[in-house]
Formats: sequence, C-alpha cells, structure tokens
Amino acid sequence: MSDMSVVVSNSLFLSAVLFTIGVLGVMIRRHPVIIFMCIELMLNAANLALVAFNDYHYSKAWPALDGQVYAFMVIAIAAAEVAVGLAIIVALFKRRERVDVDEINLLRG
Amino acid sequence: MSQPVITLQQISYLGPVLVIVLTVLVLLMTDVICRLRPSRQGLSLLTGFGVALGGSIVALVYSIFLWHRLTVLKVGKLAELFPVNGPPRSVSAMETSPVWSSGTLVVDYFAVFVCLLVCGVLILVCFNFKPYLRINKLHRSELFPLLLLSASGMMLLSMSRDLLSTFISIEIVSLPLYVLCGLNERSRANQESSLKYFLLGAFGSGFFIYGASLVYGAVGHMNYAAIAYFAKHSLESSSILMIGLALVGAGLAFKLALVPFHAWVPDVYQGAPTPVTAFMAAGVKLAVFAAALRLVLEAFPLMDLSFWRGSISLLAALSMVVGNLLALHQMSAKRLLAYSAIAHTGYIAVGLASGLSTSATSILIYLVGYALAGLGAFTLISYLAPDGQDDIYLDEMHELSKRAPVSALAFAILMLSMAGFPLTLGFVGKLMVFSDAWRAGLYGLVIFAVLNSVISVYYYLRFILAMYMQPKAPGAAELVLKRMPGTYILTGIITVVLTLLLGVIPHMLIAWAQSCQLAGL
Repeated sequence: MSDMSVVVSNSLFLSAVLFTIGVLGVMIRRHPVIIFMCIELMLNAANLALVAFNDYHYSKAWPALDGQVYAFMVIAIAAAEVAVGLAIIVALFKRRERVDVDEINLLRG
Repeated sequence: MSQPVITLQQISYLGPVLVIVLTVLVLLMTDVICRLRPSRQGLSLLTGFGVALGGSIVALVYSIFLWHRLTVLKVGKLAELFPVNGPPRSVSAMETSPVWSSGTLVVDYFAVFVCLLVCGVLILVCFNFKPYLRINKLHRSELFPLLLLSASGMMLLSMSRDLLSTFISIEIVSLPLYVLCGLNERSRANQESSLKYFLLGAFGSGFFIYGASLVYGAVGHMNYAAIAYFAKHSLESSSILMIGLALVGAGLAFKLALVPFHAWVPDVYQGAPTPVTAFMAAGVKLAVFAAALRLVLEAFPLMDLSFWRGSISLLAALSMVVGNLLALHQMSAKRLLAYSAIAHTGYIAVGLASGLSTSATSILIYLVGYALAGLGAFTLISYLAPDGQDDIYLDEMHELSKRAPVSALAFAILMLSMAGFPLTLGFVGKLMVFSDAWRAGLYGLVIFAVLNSVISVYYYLRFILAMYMQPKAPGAAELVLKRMPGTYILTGIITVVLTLLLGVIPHMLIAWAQSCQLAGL
C-alpha cells in the first residue's frame, strides 16, 4: 500500500490509536459508563477506518461508496447499543448509589 | 454494474425470518392496544405465549417447506439476496470486469437447517418461559417479542455471507438478550448478569467490526466470496487482511466463549433467568457457530490454512482444558453447566479447526445434541429450583432419585449425553466431530479432546451420584417439590426422548445433516 495518500494513512493511524485507547480503556477503567464510552470509541475507530479505506479504494473505474455506507450501518448499530446499554446501567443506578464494576460481584466462583 | 433486482419470490425465501418479525410486530401492537383499555393491563401472559408459540410453529413449518423445495428443485441454494459483484480493487489493475458475484444473504441447505433448529429451540424456550413467568410473578409483555427478535437474528446469522451482515445479525441476536438477562429488575443477580453480558458482548462486537473494517481495507469488500477471491489472486500476502481476520475471529470467539474470551460466561449463565440461559446455551451457540462455519469454509479455504488451523486448535485446546478444570468443583448446577459450555465450545471448535467440507454435518449434529441436553437440563433446573433462588446446588440434590425419580432419571440421561456416553446423541456428535478432525490430520488435538471428555465425565457423574447414591447430610437444605407444570413436562419429554432416540438411531439426522452442505461460492 505504497500509493496511499497522506490523508488516508493519517486517518488510519488515528483510527488505530482510537481503537487502542478504547481497548485499554475497557480494561483499565472501572465505571460502566466510561467502559461503555471506550467501547463506542472502538466502534468509531472502525467507522473512521471504513471511511478512510473507502477513499483509498475509490476510483473512476469503480466508483463505489461501500465503506461510507458501512459506516452508517455501524453508527445505527452503535445507537441501538447505546439505547440498550444506558437503560441497563440506569436500572443498576436505581438500586445502588455507586456503580463500579468492582462492586458488582455477587456472582463469582 | 447491473442493478440488483430483488423479486418477491426471493424475499419469500426469507419466510421464516419474516414470519418471526411479523409475529413480533403483532405482539407489540396488540400490547399497545391492550394498554388503551380502561384497565391499562398489557397483553396477558397466556395470549403472548400463544401468539409467540404460533409464530414459531408457522416459521418451523415454513422452514420445512423451504427444505422440501430445495430437495424438489435439486439446487444447492434457493436464493442469493442483495447480490454484490466486482473485482476487489487491490488485486490488480488488469482485471476490471466483474469476475465474482455473491449474495449478501444466501438461502441454502445449511441456512434452512439452522432455521429449522432455531425454530425448534425457540418453541422449547417458549414452553419454558410460560411457567417460569407465572411462578416468579413476572408480568412482562415485552418478553416474547424480545425472544423472537433474537431468534430472527439467529436465522439471519446462518444466512449471512458478508462480514457486515454477520455483524448486524450478531447484534440483532445480542441486543434483545442483554435485556432478557436483566428480566427481573428485583433480582440483583439478573441485573449483574445483564450488565456483564452487555459490556463484554459490546467489547467483542468492537473487535469484530474493527477487524471487518481492516478486511474491507485489504480486499475492498466485506463479502466472503471477495475475501476468498482476493486470497487466491492476490500476489503479495496482506498483513492487514490477516490482522483483520484475526480481530474478526476474536470477536466471534467472544460470542462463542472460547478461552481466553470466556470470562463473562459463568457469571452471565448463572445470573440470567434460567430459560434465558437455556436460550443462550442452545440458540446463540448454534447460530454463532453457524456463522463461524460459513466464514471458515467459504472465506478461508484458499488461504494458507495451517495458520488458521493452528490458532483455532489452540483456542479449542485452551477452552477444553480451562472449562473442564474449572467445572470440576462447582456446587451450583447452572455454573457447572456454564463451565461445561466453555468446554463444549472447545470440542466444537475442534471440528471447526478440521475445516473439511463434512465439518458442517458433524458440527450441526453436535450442536443438536448439545442444544437438546442443555434445554432439558435447564428446564429441570428451573423446575427444581427453590422459590427466588433460580438455581440448584449439589448438596440439595442428595437422594433426589427417591423423591423425584422421573426428574432424576431425566437429569441423569441429559448429563450422560453431555458427557458423551454411547447411546445418547452427545456421543454421536462427539464421535463425528473427533473423527473429522482425525481425518484432517489433527491427531494430537483429537487425543487431547478425548482425554478432556474423560475428565468431564467426573463432574457430570458427581451430580448423578449425588442424586442416586449419596445420603442426605443431616441439616442440609431440601428441595421443596411442587407439581411439575405441563409445559416443563413436555419440554423434558421431548428433549430426553430425542436425545435417546437420535442417539440409538442417528441415521436419519445424519442423512439430513449430510445434505446440509454450504452452497459454495
């Protein structure tokens, strides 16, 4: 991939960084909402990569916008995940004052 | 590029999915209309159950009809929906004409067979839910729609032939399940299970879609046909494609609960309402393995297989040994079945690693055996569980054979099937999966898997011995036996009879599963 434009390769680099931040955040942070934000970061890294790769694949001979359409699909899925996830976290908040994944430890063994 | 046209007939081949989705809409709308009444009561449990059951049975019949049509027309596949075509851009500048074409969804023998199985699982889970909701006083009219939506995702998953549609189908399966796990808002265990499942499930999805985006970057498409084509024609091996597929594999491994992506399974299985656990164990495993099979058999065959074989074998071996060792000393029946589910995922992954064209047959038979045993066992657990506990422990099961001989016998048979004893379907499944792997030359892995199934006999027998041989310790808690609800009896009979019947005479099932070839590209 030597013919990649600077914009595309920079975007890909950024998306890799975002994805790494997301993965590390999920592993390190303890608050469910922050963990969830990190997961969203991972999905957005994928979106950025999709759009950048679309630009890389786009040509006069094959003017397809697949990657950008895929990104919209991923956005829609992420929105559905937010709806379900925040509802679950709010339901937990209702029963306890603090929500911390270290304290959610009824099930173990 | 020709404009893709989708005919009504092609859409009719999606029938089972459409029937289920239509049932969901009917259930949701009637619930809303019911709430307009002065009493403001939602749809009653019985009506919801009836409509959901009716919808699943219609979908089952529709799948049988599709199967019949496939055999009558003597074609490998009925339809390729939403076709895409074209050369992957990165192959070479020379080839500019469309040289491959493939549907995003394909309705072939394999997909229809999985649809059939999903409908069967759905019916049995509906049976389980009716008494469960009544006994636990949960009046949730949104339950059946969520259950059916999840099942429709499972059917789509078996048809997906594209990383994006696989991703969307996985989400359709998972999102309703996250909610279903937290069904009872009064139960802390339910909520905890729901949160853990959600966070780790979404984490897995993140891996999957990032991997898919890298595959798109390398290939220019997400279609399996394009991936296979690219792997065949591309001159340089693409590291981006490899990393992308590895991340996709990690995402699938999260959903399948292969070690080291298994951390959520025990907590989620134990904390979720028992019928939901049964649905996860039977249905989700079935559907995600169907997707993994399609990915491995359609997108990988032209690639350097040894690398993939090696990594899948490693995950399989780890899952078997970790699942079995952690299951050895579990006291809770649900937690035991959760760890054994990890081990079973490992056994099935052995079949996946062999990657032969017959793997689909053996894996499907294994999954049928596992689904029947799992559904039956979880049904008995939800029957025997004391009020508000939703689980049974080993020390409560002593002398159960004297107090509830039929339930104890059924539980024993299902445990033996999970352990892979001869004359049960579990044995047939294990035999076929392992002999496939043997033919593929994975001798070490097969020996390791057989040793592991010997270990697993220990913890299944521990429960059986507790029921039959061991006297009750003085002062130990005793299960209060209630009258068994009719639908539990029905589920129990269906699962036990099928486990034994298909274990003794598996020819018909094997013949069916043998015709379940993937349509190919």
